[in-house]
Amino acid sequence: MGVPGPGYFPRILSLIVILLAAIELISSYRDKEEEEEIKLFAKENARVWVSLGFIILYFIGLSYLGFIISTIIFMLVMLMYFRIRNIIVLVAVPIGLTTFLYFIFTILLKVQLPIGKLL
Amino acid sequence: MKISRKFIMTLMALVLMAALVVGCGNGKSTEEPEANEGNQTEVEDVETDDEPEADVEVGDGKVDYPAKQLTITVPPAAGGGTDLLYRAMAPKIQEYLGVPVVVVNKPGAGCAIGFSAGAKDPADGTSVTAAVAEMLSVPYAAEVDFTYESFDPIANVNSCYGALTVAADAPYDTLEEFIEYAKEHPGEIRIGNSGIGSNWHILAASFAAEAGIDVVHVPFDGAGPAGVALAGGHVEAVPVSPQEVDVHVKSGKAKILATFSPERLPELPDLPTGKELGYGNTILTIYRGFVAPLGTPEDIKQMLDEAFQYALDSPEITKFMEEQNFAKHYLSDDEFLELMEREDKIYGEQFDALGLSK
Amino acid sequence: MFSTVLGNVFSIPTLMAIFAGVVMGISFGAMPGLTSTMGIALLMPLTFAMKPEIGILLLIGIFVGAIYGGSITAILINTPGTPSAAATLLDGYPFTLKGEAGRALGIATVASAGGGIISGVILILIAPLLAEFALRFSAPEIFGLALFGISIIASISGDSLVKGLMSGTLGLILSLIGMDNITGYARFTFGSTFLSGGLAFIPVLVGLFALSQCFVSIEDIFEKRAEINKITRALPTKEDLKTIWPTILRAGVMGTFIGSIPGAGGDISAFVSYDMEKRVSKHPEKFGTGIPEGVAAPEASNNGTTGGALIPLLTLGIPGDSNTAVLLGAFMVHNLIPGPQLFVDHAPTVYTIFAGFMIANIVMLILGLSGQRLFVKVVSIPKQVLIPSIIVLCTVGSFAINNNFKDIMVMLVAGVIGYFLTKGGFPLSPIVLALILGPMAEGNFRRSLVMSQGSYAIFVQRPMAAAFIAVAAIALLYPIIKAIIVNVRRKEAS
Repeated sequence: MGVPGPGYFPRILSLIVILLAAIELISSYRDKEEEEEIKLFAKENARVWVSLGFIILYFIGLSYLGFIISTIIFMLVMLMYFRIRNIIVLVAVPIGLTTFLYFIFTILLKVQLPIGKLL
Repeated sequence: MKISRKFIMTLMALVLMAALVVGCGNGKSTEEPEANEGNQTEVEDVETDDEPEADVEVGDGKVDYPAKQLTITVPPAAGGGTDLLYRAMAPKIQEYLGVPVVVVNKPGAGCAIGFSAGAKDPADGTSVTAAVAEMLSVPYAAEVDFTYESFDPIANVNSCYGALTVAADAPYDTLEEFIEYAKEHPGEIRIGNSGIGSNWHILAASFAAEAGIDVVHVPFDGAGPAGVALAGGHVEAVPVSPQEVDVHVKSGKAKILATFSPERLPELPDLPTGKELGYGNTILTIYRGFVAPLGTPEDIKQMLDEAFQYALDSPEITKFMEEQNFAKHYLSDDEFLELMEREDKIYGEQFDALGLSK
Repeated sequence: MFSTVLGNVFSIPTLMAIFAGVVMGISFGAMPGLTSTMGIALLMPLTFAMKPEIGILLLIGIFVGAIYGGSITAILINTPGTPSAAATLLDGYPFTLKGEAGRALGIATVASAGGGIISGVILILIAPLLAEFALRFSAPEIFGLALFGISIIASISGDSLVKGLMSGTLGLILSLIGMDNITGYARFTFGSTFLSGGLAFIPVLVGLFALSQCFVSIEDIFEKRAEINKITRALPTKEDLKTIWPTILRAGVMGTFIGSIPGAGGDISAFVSYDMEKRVSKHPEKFGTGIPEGVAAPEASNNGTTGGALIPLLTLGIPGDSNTAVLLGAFMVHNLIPGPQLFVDHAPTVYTIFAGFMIANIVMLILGLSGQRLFVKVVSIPKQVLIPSIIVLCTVGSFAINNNFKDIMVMLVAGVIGYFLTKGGFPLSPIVLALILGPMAEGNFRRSLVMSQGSYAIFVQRPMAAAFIAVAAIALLYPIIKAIIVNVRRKEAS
């Protein structure tokens, strides 16, 4: 019938990707200007990866401990990691934000927030 | 810096109060949401008695339901017609069972996600799944880990059927004339549907097979767009339900030739059914019912069945369904199972015939 | 009837509903991870007990407010609060970096209200006509439009055209994941039921923009931010207003038009208008550095879609975008069945809603301008507090859509990818465009061919489709050819 099948578009896209990658590669060889190094795994990025680790732990916590506990712990940990020392902030922000979100979602909107398997 | 958070909280409190005032201003109490944890609609309050419904006290149920709460998993997305029906029924079911009844949407993958989750729920009365017709079609369309046999049917509450709708100015006025035209112009009639492998697609294919006509099936993203395409003259026919094309019939752009239902529809008594005209094998039921995880104990299923019937018969739900054009169609568990078995065969056949089987 | 409508609309409950809706809308829209569609969907059940006009106007207030609200965070922290604000950050954030956040916010407010009002006027005057026109739009025309939208990628790629195109292509590839609409064939699903439904748009958007921006900010979280506490402008200057009113007019109309096309909403129209302004501008190279038109165009356009999307909704029962799709449910519950009959059977209600819509925009204007000083305070929240909060908001928002845990994993992966891309100098906006428009383009292309039984002639025979495709081709090829020529000339010179 002549109607392109599901493989039509992906194939075109892969061609485009190859083409574009080739162009970029060639032009990066030709313009030998200052090579800007992209730091992804250097010391400067350590914080990002550590934060990512915390986020993953937060997600795990969400599925076992539920929203309220995990969120409070996560925020507490992040704030401390980011060197916040002010006790008031450390207590008020996690509890405040969690309560606020709980209020809006569970009570006002009646949407389920993650419930932990253990609880 | 916490000013903005606190300000927003105060604002939200004000807004909530405003919403309450607005609600109260119309004589309806919106305090119920706080009391009925997990109930999401006040539909029962809409235009029924003058005095507000009594708060449902948990534990007041008409039976002694063993589970602590009931979750209804609804695969279709929130806000759609199907979802509304289940949400409307939830408070009434709660009234009967005496435990909190919560509706949870689990949309995605054409209902596959919701069904897949529902089939895995514990069989102890804590959960049921909304049974909609996609339960039959999806297993043929995709790699999923369930079929309709992964559940214990409890009851059906509502059904609707398709109809053949064509352009108002088309040269055929009856089903027979349509079929004749199609036979004279093979491959030219385009029938829109709500998506490849969707219920309407299968219905159209089943009809085409029975009538022996050669048509083209054009998929759209839902019954609504298919109807619009018909109204705009981009396709010649659609097999969707009369409700879904009602707006186009009323605006004079479309006419319904016949309905694909077991009997004439009460709201369209002048329309013949396909069955009357000799095409009785083409009936697909778009049903809405309840199923429970496989192995749920008999007494629990019995109580659930009674609860669903109670809700269905209640004046509030009756009124709701009338207004929203939902036809009541109660089927007991055996009848429901029989329906699913019967129609599952049609889906299987058509999927094969269309070459869509995975 | 006029007096009935006025009476309805200026009654206390109605006005309160509108006010409440706009406030909630702005709050929702401003928070990354929570979107307008979500707000409307979640608050809809609360409206069941209300009178129809009031319930619906509450939801419309949320709609209008949220589309504007997204611009607040887009401007202040380079994170769109809703998808429709994804283009606003292109010029909005540079304003903040220059210390002129207030000016950008003011422009966004005025532009949003302007666009909304224009769309309201068009809605009231031309709705039925436009609806007839919208009926003629089918797969080939929508394909042409989507193709044109994709071609805009070339224009928003910033400095590196190649990187922009690669981002766009990545977006297109991501949009392929899931069951193909035309044949039901599962692509890139690796056997997972979850993936067979495709990637949910919001978690990807939130991850790509908001989460990745958080990662980027974490890198220099302890460094002093640019001196932003001094808000040099709280309101746009008279000159700003004079500069942007033609923009608002153009973008507002364009937004209304795009909104009236089923399936196309604020997210697309913002980019289209941004691109259009750039093309008609006398100083296109200044776009991206923080100029008024760059903020006014997307904001006027995305609010223009609010009225525009109501047109097919009310006249045909077909939602113009995702927000109106939810509104459709609200209408049905209140027994207002959209279609020509609606104007006959329920005329007072419909016109009350129209009037309420206009008022919602005015309320938004007032709230936006007066809330400015408050909004700007967001910028003074220390990054150490802001970033974890945003992460939590994003997580909650992504989960709340489908109640599906896997969505937040999608968000996380998108966030990491976005981080890599940003570090590598790849623009993120093309991905958004591609994610939305890719399926629209491909699906309708193949649907057109099914409709024409395999004949490609359908694209040429239909004038509107042919026109769109031609324009798209030119829009895409022109920058590429220009870049090649420039490159060649540069080599000859050296």
